[in-house]
Amino acid sequence: MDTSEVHIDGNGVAGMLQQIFVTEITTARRVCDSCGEEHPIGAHRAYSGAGTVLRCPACGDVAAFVSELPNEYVLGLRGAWRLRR
Amino acid sequence: MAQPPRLSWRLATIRERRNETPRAKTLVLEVPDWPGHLAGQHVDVRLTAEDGYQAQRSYSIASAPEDDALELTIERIDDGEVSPYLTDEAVPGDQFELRGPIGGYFVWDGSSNAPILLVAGGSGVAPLMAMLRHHRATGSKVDARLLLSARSLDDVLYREELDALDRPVRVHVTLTRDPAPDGWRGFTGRISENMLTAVGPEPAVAPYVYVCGPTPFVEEAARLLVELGHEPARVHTERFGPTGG
Repeated sequence: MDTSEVHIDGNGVAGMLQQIFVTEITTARRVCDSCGEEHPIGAHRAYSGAGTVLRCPACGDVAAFVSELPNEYVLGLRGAWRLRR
Repeated sequence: MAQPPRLSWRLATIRERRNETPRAKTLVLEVPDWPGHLAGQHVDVRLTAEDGYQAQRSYSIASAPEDDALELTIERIDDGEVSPYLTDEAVPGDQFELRGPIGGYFVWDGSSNAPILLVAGGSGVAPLMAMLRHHRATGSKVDARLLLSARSLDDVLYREELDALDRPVRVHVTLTRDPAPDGWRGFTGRISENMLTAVGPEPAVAPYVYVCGPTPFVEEAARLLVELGHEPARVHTERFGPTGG
């Protein structure tokens, strides 16, 4: 695997997500606000450009956006994220 | 396996560099305090230029959790920022930063008796090889089948090792571009429903399916698998970009 600037999987940006959530996040599940389907974060689609956008694998609605700035992450989440305790 | 909560960058030292195909090399790495990994996980690799410019890519771990060193197989992408350095310039003794292991979604740990179907496009076979090596190292009885799509026979990674695998592992290769060599008994052409049916196992036995490769390959394979009746939730995918990035 060699990630580049196009659509990959949530799994492909798992390193960055783990930095933010301080836990393995790709097995967490998300219920989409838009279509109601539930999928693991690792099965979402990841699009990278200036930042990273995660999209629902079923309907394409935005699940999250993340930007890595020098001193902070800027993060937005949508839908219900279910993280195992 | 307990994962360290926060990933930290570690300095990896290249112990050995092995030629796999004309375009791919395997780096055997020593990583101090490596916490161990699960088959299917990956690492992030970060290179820093003298002027401070950093480039980062993700690479699947190809070695089994049982192996004594961490192995990454790198395919050279001609205009890449990271892979040409790793395949052409880095030599044993050189060091670079990596963090991991990463990911829990695209993982096979051998704890289930369900059959597994592994579908690889090109160098997408690397994390699947970690699964097959884990399967072998643990003496697993799980029915495991690999369908590997490669441009030509010369592009097949781990060819000798794959040839040596025996039941309950079955390996199938399809050659998509060059004419097949004389006496070729494998498949030819792009992955198809008929090919997946011939490889099996059938959807009724509910195998776990792992598909890894360039994004268009994974999209097509996943679509065919679901059409054949595999439950979408059992089809795990790992896309790595347009052609391999």
